[in-house]
Amino acid sequence: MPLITWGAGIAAIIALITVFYGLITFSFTLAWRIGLIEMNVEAYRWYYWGLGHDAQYINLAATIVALYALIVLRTGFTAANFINDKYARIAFDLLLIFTIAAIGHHILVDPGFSTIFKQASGSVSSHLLSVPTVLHAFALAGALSATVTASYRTSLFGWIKRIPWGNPAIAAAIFSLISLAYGGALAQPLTTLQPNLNYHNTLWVNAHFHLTVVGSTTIAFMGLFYYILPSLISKKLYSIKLSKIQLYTFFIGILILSTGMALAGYYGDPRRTFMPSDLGLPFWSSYTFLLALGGLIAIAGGIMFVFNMIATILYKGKGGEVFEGMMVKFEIKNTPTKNGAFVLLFIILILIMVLYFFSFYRLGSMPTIY
Amino acid sequence: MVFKSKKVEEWDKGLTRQEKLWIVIALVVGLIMSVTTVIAWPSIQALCL
Repeated sequence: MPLITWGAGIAAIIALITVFYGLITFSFTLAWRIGLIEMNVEAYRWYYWGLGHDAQYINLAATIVALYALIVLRTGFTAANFINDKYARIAFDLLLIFTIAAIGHHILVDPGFSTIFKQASGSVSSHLLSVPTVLHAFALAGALSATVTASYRTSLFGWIKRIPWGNPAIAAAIFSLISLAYGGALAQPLTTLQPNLNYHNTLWVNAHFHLTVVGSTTIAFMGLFYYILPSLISKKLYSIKLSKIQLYTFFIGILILSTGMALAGYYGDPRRTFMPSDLGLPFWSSYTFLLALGGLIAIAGGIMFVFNMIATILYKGKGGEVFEGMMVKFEIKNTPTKNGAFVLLFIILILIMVLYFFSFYRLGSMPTIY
Repeated sequence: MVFKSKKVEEWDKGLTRQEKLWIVIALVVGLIMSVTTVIAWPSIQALCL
Protein backbone atom coordinates (compact mmCIF):
# COMPACT_ATOMS: atom_id res chain seq x y z
CA MET A 1 0.00 0.00 0.00
CA PRO A 2 1.46 3.42 -0.93
CA LEU A 3 2.40 5.70 1.95
CA ILE A 4 -0.19 8.32 1.03
CA THR A 5 -2.95 5.68 1.02
CA TRP A 6 -1.67 4.42 4.39
CA GLY A 7 -1.85 7.94 5.83
CA ALA A 8 -5.32 8.52 4.35
CA GLY A 9 -6.36 5.18 5.92
CA ILE A 10 -5.15 6.41 9.33
CA ALA A 11 -7.20 9.61 8.82
CA ALA A 12 -10.23 7.43 7.94
CA ILE A 13 -9.80 5.27 11.09
CA ILE A 14 -9.65 8.45 13.22
CA ALA A 15 -12.80 9.63 11.42
CA LEU A 16 -14.59 6.34 12.26
CA ILE A 17 -13.58 6.64 15.92
CA THR A 18 -14.88 10.24 15.88
CA VAL A 19 -18.23 9.11 14.48
CA PHE A 20 -18.37 6.36 17.11
CA TYR A 21 -17.86 8.91 19.91
CA GLY A 22 -20.49 11.17 18.31
CA LEU A 23 -22.95 8.29 18.17
CA ILE A 24 -22.46 7.51 21.86
CA THR A 25 -22.63 11.21 22.85
CA PHE A 26 -25.84 12.04 21.06
CA SER A 27 -27.58 8.69 21.71
CA PHE A 28 -26.82 9.25 25.36
CA THR A 29 -28.24 12.79 25.23
CA LEU A 30 -31.36 11.65 23.38
CA ALA A 31 -31.96 8.81 25.85
CA TRP A 32 -31.62 11.30 28.72
CA ARG A 33 -33.90 13.83 26.98
CA ILE A 34 -36.74 11.37 26.58
CA GLY A 35 -36.36 10.17 30.16
CA LEU A 36 -34.86 6.71 29.60
CA ILE A 37 -31.64 7.26 31.61
CA GLU A 38 -30.17 9.55 34.26
CA MET A 39 -27.58 12.01 33.00
CA ASN A 40 -23.97 11.22 33.87
CA VAL A 41 -22.34 14.57 33.25
CA GLU A 42 -18.74 13.37 33.35
CA ALA A 43 -19.40 10.49 30.93
CA TYR A 44 -21.17 12.91 28.58
CA ARG A 45 -18.27 15.36 28.64
CA TRP A 46 -15.74 12.60 28.04
CA TYR A 47 -17.55 11.19 25.02
CA TYR A 48 -18.34 14.67 23.73
CA TRP A 49 -14.64 15.55 23.69
CA GLY A 50 -13.89 12.17 22.16
CA LEU A 51 -15.93 13.52 19.27
CA GLY A 52 -14.55 17.07 19.40
CA HIS A 53 -10.91 16.16 19.92
CA ASP A 54 -10.62 13.30 17.44
CA ALA A 55 -12.33 15.39 14.75
CA GLN A 56 -9.33 17.75 14.80
CA TYR A 57 -6.93 14.89 14.16
CA ILE A 58 -8.74 13.82 11.02
CA ASN A 59 -7.62 17.23 9.71
CA LEU A 60 -4.10 16.76 10.99
CA ALA A 61 -3.63 13.28 9.49
CA ALA A 62 -5.16 14.45 6.19
CA THR A 63 -2.95 17.57 6.19
CA ILE A 64 0.19 15.47 6.60
CA VAL A 65 -0.96 13.23 3.74
CA ALA A 66 -1.50 16.37 1.63
CA LEU A 67 1.99 17.63 2.50
CA TYR A 68 3.64 14.36 1.40
CA ALA A 69 1.59 14.54 -1.81
CA LEU A 70 2.53 18.17 -2.47
CA ILE A 71 6.26 17.68 -2.01
CA VAL A 72 6.38 14.45 -4.00
CA LEU A 73 4.10 15.46 -6.89
CA ARG A 74 5.56 18.91 -7.45
CA THR A 75 9.18 17.78 -7.46
CA GLY A 76 8.36 15.28 -10.19
CA PHE A 77 8.70 12.43 -7.65
CA THR A 78 12.35 13.34 -6.92
CA ALA A 79 11.51 13.94 -3.23
CA ALA A 80 9.95 10.45 -3.06
CA ASN A 81 13.50 9.05 -3.18
CA PHE A 82 14.21 10.64 0.17
CA ILE A 83 11.07 9.77 2.12
CA ASN A 84 11.59 6.66 4.18
CA ASP A 85 8.39 4.66 3.89
CA LYS A 86 8.91 2.68 7.09
CA TYR A 87 9.74 5.76 9.16
CA ALA A 88 6.71 7.71 7.88
CA ARG A 89 4.39 4.75 8.56
CA ILE A 90 5.65 4.49 12.15
CA ALA A 91 4.84 8.20 12.55
CA PHE A 92 1.29 7.72 11.16
CA ASP A 93 0.71 4.72 13.47
CA LEU A 94 1.87 6.67 16.53
CA LEU A 95 -0.47 9.51 15.54
CA LEU A 96 -3.42 7.11 15.66
CA ILE A 97 -2.41 5.60 19.03
CA PHE A 98 -1.83 8.92 20.82
CA THR A 99 -4.87 10.62 19.28
CA ILE A 100 -7.09 8.03 20.96
CA ALA A 101 -5.32 8.47 24.32
CA ALA A 102 -5.13 12.27 24.40
CA ILE A 103 -8.75 13.35 24.76
CA GLY A 104 -8.22 14.70 28.28
CA HIS A 105 -6.69 18.08 27.46
CA HIS A 106 -10.24 19.31 26.87
CA ILE A 107 -11.28 18.56 30.46
CA LEU A 108 -8.20 19.90 32.26
CA VAL A 109 -10.19 22.36 34.40
CA ASP A 110 -13.20 20.07 34.88
CA PRO A 111 -13.51 19.48 38.65
CA GLY A 112 -15.33 16.17 38.13
CA PHE A 113 -12.23 14.27 36.95
CA SER A 114 -9.30 13.31 39.15
CA THR A 115 -5.98 15.14 38.78
CA ILE A 116 -4.14 11.92 37.93
CA PHE A 117 -6.64 11.07 35.19
CA LYS A 118 -6.49 14.58 33.70
CA GLN A 119 -2.72 14.56 33.82
CA ALA A 120 -2.43 11.12 32.21
CA SER A 121 -4.87 11.69 29.37
CA GLY A 122 -4.75 15.46 29.13
CA SER A 123 -1.10 16.31 29.57
CA VAL A 124 1.10 13.21 29.20
CA SER A 125 -0.77 11.74 26.21
CA SER A 126 -0.98 15.15 24.57
CA HIS A 127 2.78 15.67 24.86
CA LEU A 128 3.35 12.21 23.43
CA LEU A 129 0.93 13.11 20.62
CA SER A 130 3.41 15.78 19.56
CA VAL A 131 6.00 13.02 18.94
CA PRO A 132 4.51 11.70 15.64
CA THR A 133 4.01 15.29 14.41
CA VAL A 134 7.69 16.00 15.08
CA LEU A 135 8.62 12.77 13.24
CA HIS A 136 6.59 13.81 10.19
CA ALA A 137 8.15 17.29 10.29
CA PHE A 138 11.59 15.72 9.90
CA ALA A 139 10.40 13.36 7.14
CA LEU A 140 8.96 16.29 5.15
CA ALA A 141 11.63 18.93 5.78
CA GLY A 142 14.32 16.25 5.38
CA ALA A 143 12.88 15.14 2.03
CA LEU A 144 12.89 18.73 0.83
CA SER A 145 16.44 19.39 1.99
CA ALA A 146 17.68 16.11 0.47
CA THR A 147 15.96 16.96 -2.83
CA VAL A 148 17.55 20.41 -2.96
CA THR A 149 21.01 19.25 -1.83
CA ALA A 150 20.92 16.45 -4.41
CA SER A 151 20.66 19.16 -7.08
CA TYR A 152 22.83 21.90 -5.61
CA ARG A 153 25.89 21.94 -3.38
CA THR A 154 24.95 24.15 -0.43
CA SER A 155 26.01 25.01 3.11
CA LEU A 156 24.16 23.57 6.12
CA PHE A 157 21.27 26.03 5.72
CA GLY A 158 21.98 27.09 2.13
CA TRP A 159 19.31 24.67 0.84
CA ILE A 160 16.64 26.97 2.35
CA LYS A 161 17.61 29.69 -0.13
CA ARG A 162 17.50 27.18 -3.00
CA ILE A 163 13.95 26.05 -2.23
CA PRO A 164 11.68 27.15 -5.10
CA TRP A 165 9.71 29.64 -3.00
CA GLY A 166 7.88 30.83 -6.11
CA ASN A 167 6.28 27.44 -6.70
CA PRO A 168 2.78 27.47 -5.17
CA ALA A 169 2.84 23.81 -4.08
CA ILE A 170 6.25 23.93 -2.42
CA ALA A 171 5.45 27.29 -0.79
CA ALA A 172 2.11 25.86 0.43
CA ALA A 173 3.86 22.84 1.95
CA ILE A 174 6.40 25.00 3.79
CA PHE A 175 3.83 27.57 4.97
CA SER A 176 1.65 24.72 6.21
CA LEU A 177 4.57 23.21 8.15
CA ILE A 178 5.51 26.59 9.67
CA SER A 179 1.88 27.15 10.75
CA LEU A 180 1.79 23.67 12.27
CA ALA A 181 5.03 24.25 14.20
CA TYR A 182 3.85 27.67 15.47
CA GLY A 183 0.41 26.28 16.44
CA GLY A 184 2.02 23.22 18.02
CA ALA A 185 4.33 25.38 20.11
CA LEU A 186 1.34 27.36 21.42
CA ALA A 187 -0.43 24.07 22.27
CA GLN A 188 2.17 22.91 24.81
CA PRO A 189 1.18 25.25 27.70
CA LEU A 190 -2.49 24.62 26.86
CA THR A 191 -2.29 20.85 27.19
CA THR A 192 -0.37 20.99 30.46
CA LEU A 193 -2.43 20.89 33.63
CA GLN A 194 -0.63 23.71 35.44
CA PRO A 195 0.21 26.39 32.80
CA ASN A 196 -3.20 25.81 31.26
CA LEU A 197 -4.57 27.83 34.20
CA ASN A 198 -3.01 30.95 32.66
CA TYR A 199 -4.17 30.31 29.12
CA HIS A 200 -7.48 28.47 29.51
CA ASN A 201 -10.35 29.99 27.52
CA THR A 202 -8.29 32.96 26.40
CA LEU A 203 -7.65 33.99 22.79
CA TRP A 204 -4.39 31.98 23.06
CA VAL A 205 -6.55 28.89 22.36
CA ASN A 206 -7.94 30.50 19.19
CA ALA A 207 -4.39 31.39 18.11
CA HIS A 208 -3.44 27.70 18.44
CA PHE A 209 -6.27 26.29 16.35
CA HIS A 210 -6.26 29.09 13.78
CA LEU A 211 -2.63 28.19 13.07
CA THR A 212 -3.19 24.44 12.95
CA VAL A 213 -6.55 24.30 11.18
CA VAL A 214 -7.06 27.61 9.36
CA GLY A 215 -3.34 27.93 8.71
CA SER A 216 -1.79 24.52 8.28
CA THR A 217 -4.73 22.44 7.01
CA THR A 218 -6.28 25.07 4.75
CA ILE A 219 -2.97 26.10 3.19
CA ALA A 220 -2.00 22.46 2.51
CA PHE A 221 -5.31 21.79 0.79
CA MET A 222 -5.20 25.08 -1.13
CA GLY A 223 -1.81 23.95 -2.47
CA LEU A 224 -3.17 20.50 -3.29
CA PHE A 225 -6.23 21.96 -5.03
CA TYR A 226 -3.97 23.86 -7.41
CA TYR A 227 -2.90 20.38 -8.51
CA ILE A 228 -6.18 18.47 -8.22
CA LEU A 229 -8.52 20.87 -10.04
CA PRO A 230 -6.45 21.14 -13.25
CA SER A 231 -6.07 17.32 -13.12
CA LEU A 232 -9.83 16.79 -12.80
CA ILE A 233 -10.91 19.10 -15.61
CA SER A 234 -7.74 18.78 -17.75
CA LYS A 235 -7.23 22.52 -17.92
CA LYS A 236 -4.40 24.81 -16.99
CA LEU A 237 -4.75 26.84 -13.82
CA TYR A 238 -6.26 30.25 -14.63
CA SER A 239 -3.36 32.13 -13.06
CA ILE A 240 -0.21 30.62 -11.54
CA LYS A 241 0.92 34.12 -10.52
CA LEU A 242 -2.33 34.70 -8.63
CA SER A 243 -1.93 31.34 -6.86
CA LYS A 244 1.51 32.44 -5.59
CA ILE A 245 0.21 35.84 -4.43
CA GLN A 246 -2.81 34.15 -2.87
CA LEU A 247 -0.79 31.69 -0.78
CA TYR A 248 1.60 34.37 0.49
CA THR A 249 -1.31 36.72 1.30
CA PHE A 250 -3.29 34.04 3.14
CA PHE A 251 -0.25 32.81 5.10
CA ILE A 252 0.84 36.32 6.16
CA GLY A 253 -2.77 37.13 7.13
CA ILE A 254 -3.04 34.01 9.31
CA LEU A 255 0.33 34.73 10.96
CA ILE A 256 -0.73 38.30 11.86
CA LEU A 257 -4.19 37.18 12.99
CA SER A 258 -2.83 34.36 15.17
CA THR A 259 -0.05 36.47 16.66
CA GLY A 260 -2.64 39.12 17.61
CA MET A 261 -4.78 36.40 19.21
CA ALA A 262 -1.81 34.86 21.05
CA LEU A 263 -0.71 38.22 22.47
CA ALA A 264 -4.25 39.14 23.53
CA GLY A 265 -4.68 35.67 25.06
CA TYR A 266 -1.34 35.91 26.86
CA TYR A 267 -2.66 39.00 28.63
CA GLY A 268 -5.93 37.28 29.52
CA ASP A 269 -8.37 38.42 26.81
CA PRO A 270 -11.15 35.79 27.04
CA ARG A 271 -12.63 33.90 24.15
CA ARG A 272 -16.30 32.97 23.71
CA THR A 273 -17.22 35.86 26.01
CA PHE A 274 -18.73 39.25 25.26
CA MET A 275 -16.50 41.80 26.95
CA PRO A 276 -17.96 45.26 27.63
CA SER A 277 -15.33 47.92 26.93
CA ASP A 278 -15.21 49.09 30.54
CA LEU A 279 -14.27 45.58 31.76
CA GLY A 280 -11.53 44.88 29.22
CA LEU A 281 -7.91 45.95 29.59
CA PRO A 282 -7.18 48.97 27.36
CA PHE A 283 -4.12 47.46 25.65
CA TRP A 284 -6.10 44.40 24.48
CA SER A 285 -7.42 46.52 21.62
CA SER A 286 -3.95 46.88 20.05
CA TYR A 287 -3.70 43.07 19.83
CA THR A 288 -7.27 42.62 18.64
CA PHE A 289 -6.49 45.25 15.98
CA LEU A 290 -3.74 42.91 14.75
CA LEU A 291 -6.29 40.10 14.83
CA ALA A 292 -8.71 42.10 12.67
CA LEU A 293 -5.98 43.23 10.27
CA GLY A 294 -4.67 39.68 9.83
CA GLY A 295 -8.22 38.41 9.37
CA LEU A 296 -8.87 40.93 6.57
CA ILE A 297 -5.61 39.99 4.81
CA ALA A 298 -6.43 36.28 5.14
CA ILE A 299 -9.96 36.87 3.77
CA ALA A 300 -8.41 38.65 0.77
CA GLY A 301 -6.23 35.55 0.26
CA GLY A 302 -9.29 33.32 0.53
CA ILE A 303 -11.19 35.38 -2.06
CA MET A 304 -8.23 35.14 -4.46
CA PHE A 305 -8.26 31.34 -4.05
CA VAL A 306 -12.00 31.05 -4.78
CA PHE A 307 -11.67 33.42 -7.75
CA ASN A 308 -8.76 31.42 -9.20
CA MET A 309 -10.67 28.15 -8.79
CA ILE A 310 -13.88 29.45 -10.39
CA ALA A 311 -11.93 31.19 -13.16
CA THR A 312 -10.07 27.92 -13.86
CA ILE A 313 -13.37 26.07 -14.26
CA LEU A 314 -14.92 28.78 -16.48
CA TYR A 315 -11.76 29.69 -18.39
CA LYS A 316 -11.49 28.10 -21.81
CA GLY A 317 -7.77 27.35 -21.39
CA LYS A 318 -4.87 27.86 -23.72
CA GLY A 319 -4.09 24.22 -24.46
CA GLY A 320 -0.71 22.63 -23.96
CA GLU A 321 0.53 20.74 -20.91
CA VAL A 322 -1.86 21.12 -17.95
CA PHE A 323 0.91 21.58 -15.37
CA GLU A 324 3.18 23.75 -17.51
CA GLY A 325 5.03 26.20 -15.28
CA MET A 326 3.89 24.47 -12.08
CA MET A 327 6.42 21.66 -11.68
CA VAL A 328 9.90 22.05 -10.25
CA LYS A 329 12.59 19.93 -11.82
CA PHE A 330 15.43 18.58 -9.71
CA GLU A 331 18.24 16.43 -10.98
CA ILE A 332 20.09 14.14 -8.63
CA LYS A 333 23.70 15.19 -9.18
CA ASN A 334 25.16 15.31 -5.68
CA THR A 335 24.99 13.18 -2.56
CA PRO A 336 21.80 14.28 -0.76
CA THR A 337 21.78 15.21 2.92
CA LYS A 338 19.13 15.93 5.52
CA ASN A 339 21.57 17.47 8.00
CA GLY A 340 20.32 21.04 7.51
CA ALA A 341 16.70 20.00 8.21
CA PHE A 342 17.86 17.98 11.24
CA VAL A 343 19.68 20.92 12.82
CA LEU A 344 16.93 23.43 11.93
CA LEU A 345 14.19 21.28 13.46
CA PHE A 346 16.33 20.60 16.53
CA ILE A 347 16.63 24.37 17.09
CA ILE A 348 12.84 24.72 16.69
CA LEU A 349 12.30 21.91 19.25
CA ILE A 350 14.57 23.72 21.71
CA LEU A 351 12.55 26.93 21.23
CA ILE A 352 9.30 25.01 21.87
CA MET A 353 10.81 23.61 25.08
CA VAL A 354 11.87 27.11 26.16
CA LEU A 355 8.29 28.36 25.66
CA TYR A 356 7.00 25.35 27.61
CA PHE A 357 9.27 25.94 30.60
CA PHE A 358 8.62 29.67 30.44
CA SER A 359 4.90 28.91 30.89
CA PHE A 360 5.74 27.13 34.18
CA TYR A 361 7.94 30.05 35.25
CA ARG A 362 5.12 32.46 34.42
CA LEU A 363 2.61 30.49 36.50
CA GLY A 364 5.06 30.29 39.39
CA SER A 365 5.55 34.09 39.21
CA MET A 366 1.84 34.82 39.58
CA PRO A 367 0.86 36.59 42.80
CA THR A 368 -0.43 34.15 45.42
CA ILE A 369 -4.08 34.46 46.37
CA TYR A 370 -4.13 32.90 49.81
CA MET B 1 28.25 17.63 9.45
CA VAL B 2 25.80 15.81 11.67
CA PHE B 3 25.91 12.55 9.77
CA LYS B 4 27.76 11.15 6.83
CA SER B 5 25.54 11.57 3.78
CA LYS B 6 24.01 8.59 2.04
CA LYS B 7 23.67 7.79 -1.59
CA VAL B 8 20.15 7.89 -3.08
CA GLU B 9 19.71 4.12 -3.27
CA GLU B 10 20.56 3.73 0.43
CA TRP B 11 17.74 5.93 1.75
CA ASP B 12 14.91 3.43 1.72
CA LYS B 13 16.65 0.46 3.36
CA GLY B 14 15.30 0.50 6.93
CA LEU B 15 15.67 3.47 9.23
CA THR B 16 18.81 5.57 8.90
CA ARG B 17 20.88 6.43 11.98
CA GLN B 18 19.68 10.01 11.64
CA GLU B 19 16.02 8.91 11.65
CA LYS B 20 16.56 6.65 14.66
CA LEU B 21 18.22 9.52 16.50
CA TRP B 22 15.34 11.86 15.57
CA ILE B 23 12.82 9.35 16.97
CA VAL B 24 14.80 9.24 20.23
CA ILE B 25 14.99 13.07 20.37
CA ALA B 26 11.22 13.41 19.75
CA LEU B 27 10.45 10.82 22.45
CA VAL B 28 12.84 12.46 24.93
CA VAL B 29 11.23 15.88 24.34
CA GLY B 30 7.74 14.38 24.81
CA LEU B 31 8.85 12.58 27.98
CA ILE B 32 10.60 15.65 29.45
CA MET B 33 7.39 17.66 29.04
CA SER B 34 5.31 14.79 30.47
CA VAL B 35 7.56 14.24 33.47
CA THR B 36 7.66 17.99 34.16
CA THR B 37 3.89 18.25 34.43
CA VAL B 38 3.74 15.20 36.74
CA ILE B 39 6.52 16.21 39.14
CA ALA B 40 5.71 19.93 39.17
CA TRP B 41 2.10 19.50 40.29
CA PRO B 42 2.54 19.59 44.10
CA SER B 43 4.65 22.77 44.09
CA ILE B 44 2.38 24.55 41.63
CA GLN B 45 -0.64 23.44 43.65
CA ALA B 46 0.93 25.03 46.71
CA LEU B 47 1.40 28.28 44.78
CA CYS B 48 -2.08 28.45 43.29
CA LEU B 49 -4.48 26.99 45.81
